[in-house]
Amino acid sequence: MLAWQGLSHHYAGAEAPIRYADFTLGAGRHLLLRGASGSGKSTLLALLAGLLRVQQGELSVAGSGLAGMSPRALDAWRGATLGVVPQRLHLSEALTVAENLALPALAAGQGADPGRAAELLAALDVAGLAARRPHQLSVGQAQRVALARALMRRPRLLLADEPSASLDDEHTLHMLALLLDAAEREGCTLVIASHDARVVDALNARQDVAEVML
Amino acid sequence: MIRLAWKYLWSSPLTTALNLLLLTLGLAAVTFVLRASAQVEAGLRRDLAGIDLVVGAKGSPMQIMLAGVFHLDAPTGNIPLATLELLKRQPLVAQAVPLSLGDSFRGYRIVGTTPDYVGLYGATLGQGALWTRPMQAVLGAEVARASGLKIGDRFAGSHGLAEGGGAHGEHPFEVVGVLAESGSVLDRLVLTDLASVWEVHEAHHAGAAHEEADEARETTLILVRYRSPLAAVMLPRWVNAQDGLQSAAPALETARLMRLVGAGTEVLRGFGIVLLAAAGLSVWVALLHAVRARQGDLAMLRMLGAPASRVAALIALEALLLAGLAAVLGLAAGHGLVAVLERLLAERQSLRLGPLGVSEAEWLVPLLACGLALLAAAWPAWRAYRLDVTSLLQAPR
Repeated sequence: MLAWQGLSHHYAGAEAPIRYADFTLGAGRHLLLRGASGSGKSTLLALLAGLLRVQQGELSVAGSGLAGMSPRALDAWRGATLGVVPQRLHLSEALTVAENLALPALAAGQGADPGRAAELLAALDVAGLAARRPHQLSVGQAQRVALARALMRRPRLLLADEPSASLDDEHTLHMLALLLDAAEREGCTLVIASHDARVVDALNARQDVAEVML
Repeated sequence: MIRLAWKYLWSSPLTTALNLLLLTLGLAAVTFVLRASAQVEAGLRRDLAGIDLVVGAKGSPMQIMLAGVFHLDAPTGNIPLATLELLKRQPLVAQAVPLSLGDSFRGYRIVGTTPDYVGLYGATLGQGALWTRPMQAVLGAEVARASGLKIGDRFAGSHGLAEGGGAHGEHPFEVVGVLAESGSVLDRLVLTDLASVWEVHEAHHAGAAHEEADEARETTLILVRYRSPLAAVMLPRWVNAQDGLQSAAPALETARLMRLVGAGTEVLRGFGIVLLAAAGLSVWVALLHAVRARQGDLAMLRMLGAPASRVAALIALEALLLAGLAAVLGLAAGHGLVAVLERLLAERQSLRLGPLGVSEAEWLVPLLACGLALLAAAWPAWRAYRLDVTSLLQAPR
């Protein structure tokens, strides 16, 4: 499902490239990416998301080799394959919840799918919020909406970056449960990048989560 | 994309409304200048009606042209009626039409002339017939409408070309016809036989018993059509060499008039351009601010698979939507201002503008608006295109 070999990335002006040990994640498993600030975790996430081009080595995500893909192809691939729940949720205040959920299709140059949006909002227990603006949502509701947005195009890889940032214990566990449930229900691989001990402990307790320490 | 751009545009309603107002005012000023100058020119051309030369008493050619063709100024004086025969005998003259001015009816000029004057404009009768004897009058369409006079009614003219002169109550005119609306100067004239003016004025000055000999009679102006282009060189020179006569070439004088009016339109056009420049700057600042304020949204769009070009296009689209709306409002406001100008001119019984319709130059207005919008959006769109998605999605802001 997810593999890299000989992968490294060299930023212009940096003394040395960031090198990643070879790794393969089998189907049906999820991944926890751990690493302190400056460990290369953000770079690996950007590579996995197709936001950075692979400079050296091989990177395969959901059967697609990302090395050699053009920026345009990476954009298309990202839209079709990847769902992202960013650290800051970035729900657009100019739009309603329903309109926020239409963004993935719009980004890909396609028409909105209100049926899918309604299905996801119902599955995430936030049906009835479609007409609200993000500032009218609680933290938990906003997280569910952000997750629904990430799942709109039925991604094969769901990427969550520091999902517990600025959340209390209860919300952290709740968010993890939501992500894992959604990944199971949608049949996609979950990649969580976190250095939060609460997240690490919770995921390490599961058999289906592999860990990469950077 | 259009819907999203529209939503983003109105997510800052005050800024958008201000930019819309600035753009609309600038575009309205430009529309007004383009449209008003085109319509004034069309109105002037229509009233020229193929008149090549106006002959009057010595004085300003511009005044002669304004008095003889557009009926906007007082004539320079009278000329001997014998001049008419003199001109008609010239081989270079195809047609010579006399105009005798001096009286008015409720501010509308009474013009003593021949039926050839109606023919010059290709005007037709709406009701009744042309005059066949003195003291019969044919009303222009606007005069009939404003006065409510009908065929068979009688009215008295006032001395002088403006309202308020002494009435010629003892010499009433009888309405025998009303001209169909032609959009020309004829609409605001009262036409009568040349002899009517003599009858009224000879009575006015010396009593009813007095009658002048034909050779002593006068007219005010003579409109001339050339038989050949050569006349344009020869005839004015010949006329000006005659004692007491002055020629005015309407085409030349109109061009001179337009140059004089042009100074005013240049000022207005300059004002419009300054407004547009201010609007462009304001849109630029607003879009730059929008890109900064919404960089999280834009980065999210990129994360969701939107190519950088699509995100940049979204910014440009916002500017184009604003420009499109401003162009529609600006055109409407510009048309409205011209309509107000037209009404003001009509109330003052002054020059009429040419027929309404979208002038070719008006297509420049939406093009100008879109060009300005794209110019203002270029740098913000470039910023959106170059957005660093990774850092924005990771660091809390």
